[in-house]
Amino acid sequence: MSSAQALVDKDKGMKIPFRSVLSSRQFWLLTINAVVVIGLGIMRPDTFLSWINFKAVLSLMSYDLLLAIAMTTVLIVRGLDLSVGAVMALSSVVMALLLRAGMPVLPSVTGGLLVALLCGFTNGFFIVRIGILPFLVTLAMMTAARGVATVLTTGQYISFPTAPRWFSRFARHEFVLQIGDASYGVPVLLIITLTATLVFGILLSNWVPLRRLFFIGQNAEAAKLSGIQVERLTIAAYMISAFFVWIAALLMTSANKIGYANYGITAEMRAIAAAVIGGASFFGGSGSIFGTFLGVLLLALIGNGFILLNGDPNWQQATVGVVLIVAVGIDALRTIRQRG
Amino acid sequence: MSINFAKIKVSGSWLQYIGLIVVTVLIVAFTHSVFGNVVTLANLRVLAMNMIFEAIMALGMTFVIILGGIDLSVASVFAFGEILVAKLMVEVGLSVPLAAAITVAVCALIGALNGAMIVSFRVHPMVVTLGTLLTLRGVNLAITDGRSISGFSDSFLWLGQGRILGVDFPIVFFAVAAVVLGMLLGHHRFFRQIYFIGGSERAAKYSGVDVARVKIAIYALSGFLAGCAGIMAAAKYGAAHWGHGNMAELKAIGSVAIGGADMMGGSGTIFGTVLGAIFLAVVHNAFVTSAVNPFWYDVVNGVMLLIAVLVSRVIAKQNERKMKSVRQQKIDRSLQPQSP
Repeated sequence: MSSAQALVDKDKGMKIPFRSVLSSRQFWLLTINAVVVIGLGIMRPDTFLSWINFKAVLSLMSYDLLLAIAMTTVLIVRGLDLSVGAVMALSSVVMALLLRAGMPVLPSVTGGLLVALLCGFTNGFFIVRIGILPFLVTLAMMTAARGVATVLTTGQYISFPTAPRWFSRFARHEFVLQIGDASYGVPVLLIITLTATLVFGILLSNWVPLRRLFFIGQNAEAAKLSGIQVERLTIAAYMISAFFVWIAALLMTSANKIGYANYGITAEMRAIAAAVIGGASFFGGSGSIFGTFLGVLLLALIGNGFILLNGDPNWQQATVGVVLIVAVGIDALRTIRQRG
Repeated sequence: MSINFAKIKVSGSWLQYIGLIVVTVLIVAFTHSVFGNVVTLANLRVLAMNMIFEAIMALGMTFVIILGGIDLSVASVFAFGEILVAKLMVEVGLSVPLAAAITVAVCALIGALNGAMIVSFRVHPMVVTLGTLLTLRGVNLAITDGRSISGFSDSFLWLGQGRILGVDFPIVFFAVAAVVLGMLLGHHRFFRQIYFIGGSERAAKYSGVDVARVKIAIYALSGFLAGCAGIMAAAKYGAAHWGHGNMAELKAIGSVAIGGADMMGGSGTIFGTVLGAIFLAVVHNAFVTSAVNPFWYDVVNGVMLLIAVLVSRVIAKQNERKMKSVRQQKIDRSLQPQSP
């Protein structure tokens, strides 16, 4: 709702009234993120506010962010993709196997991309053309993709010692940024993730074909009647989702130097949670990349805070669920107040 | 005319049940003739016990899905039930009946909480139950520190390992629960309302059905059954562990979907769910006895789910066409000039 409203506001000559900023989701998420950062910064000034810690938090959340963007894209068209984690594992396994077999980097990576896109297309095809619920289609895809990945690897790590050195190094390679006396190493992993996020975020809110995804999600029937190619665009949404899953798989394979069939188990749940916290809805038509980014960041910061404050790291898992429920509850309160 | 509708509906779903039974029997006959030792008492017992806890959860899931909802949290409630009953007995020292009663009550309460949040937040049931799933799974991990709890009394172990007339107690529990719940769902007024709500919630509300009460009760029932399954699982394994029942919610949902329920709500039967659960158990068993690489199991599971959903989709479409043609005939007849 809020992002659709924001889009409308943007069309009205960039004049966004103060009140709508205050009631926008992104503003509140940003505030909460800032509060968490300031709070942790006061309580643990030397450990939390170090670049090494920030780098670790941001790098670790990169995969979650890419999968959450994939999830947001399909949630916008009133879909769902439970298979993101499994397809990421399958794609990484395929890339690793091809590299191990002595293929050059480019064909191997393309092979992984094709597998991911094929999974995305299959999801979209069954959902749009045959009309099965996204939940069931992607659930089947999730078990099938994870199964195929396990069969291909017999459950073992796939290393690729003969692959070119640069491939297994690039994700962890750091560009050093010199500011004054301090030097900040920025990993390539982070640069790629943030660039992809930024570019896609801008495209999604400005490029007309992608803006149509919101229309489809809000009312597919009306979109169809106004001449939008609903079926084609919905399948495209699932393939865009698969593309982001592939980027995550590529970075993960390079950073860990192995392909593994158990990558991203339960990642789909975290991705849904982050997307919903960021403003996406199961009823379609809403969600934004910036919101999702803030959602992932919030979950990552809270997780980091738990560890730094010497809280039991085991409780960290539970916080994802609690934050999700609280976010949904606050939303409900807001809509009820607006109505009443 | 209404009798006609009922006949069409029954014949459609019965076609699917018969198909499911035939396929199940064929798989059993094939594996038995090729590998032998399938239709033996020992193997059938193993076959049933492998799937029994998911099947018990699937009973509750049937009600939830007919209602038009979904309950992703059952697996975490299941593990929570295991841990809670174990903690109450081993660490608090309560007697078996008291510990079991408290556990079941708490699990039902968690289910009711799910229902209450779904009703009051007005969001998709998937969001709320996903939140509960993530929260409870984290809680399970945190309160056990990832260790398993064991050291139960023999009287408790009977709940999972004991036999009544040679049949394991969990199987007896499942059979009794299936019969009782099947009868209630088929004939009791309160449970017939579920079909009404699942078919059209607004229509149900306007005809005076207390939708909120029914929803909370059904989610509580789902939590209750998951709690019962958890207690019996703790007794069967002789230990409680937070990782037990991971992904069980997907198997439970799979059983219901294969049993022919419409995931959009409004249709489904306990009989179908029982058939679906038996089918999944038989397929799993076929993999074990045929000694095929068990990693293929997941792949086949995913494909099976898709096929089953496709079949029920085709049948639903046929029903719809028949119903439309009947309606059309009625309209045609009413349009014809009345003969004096």
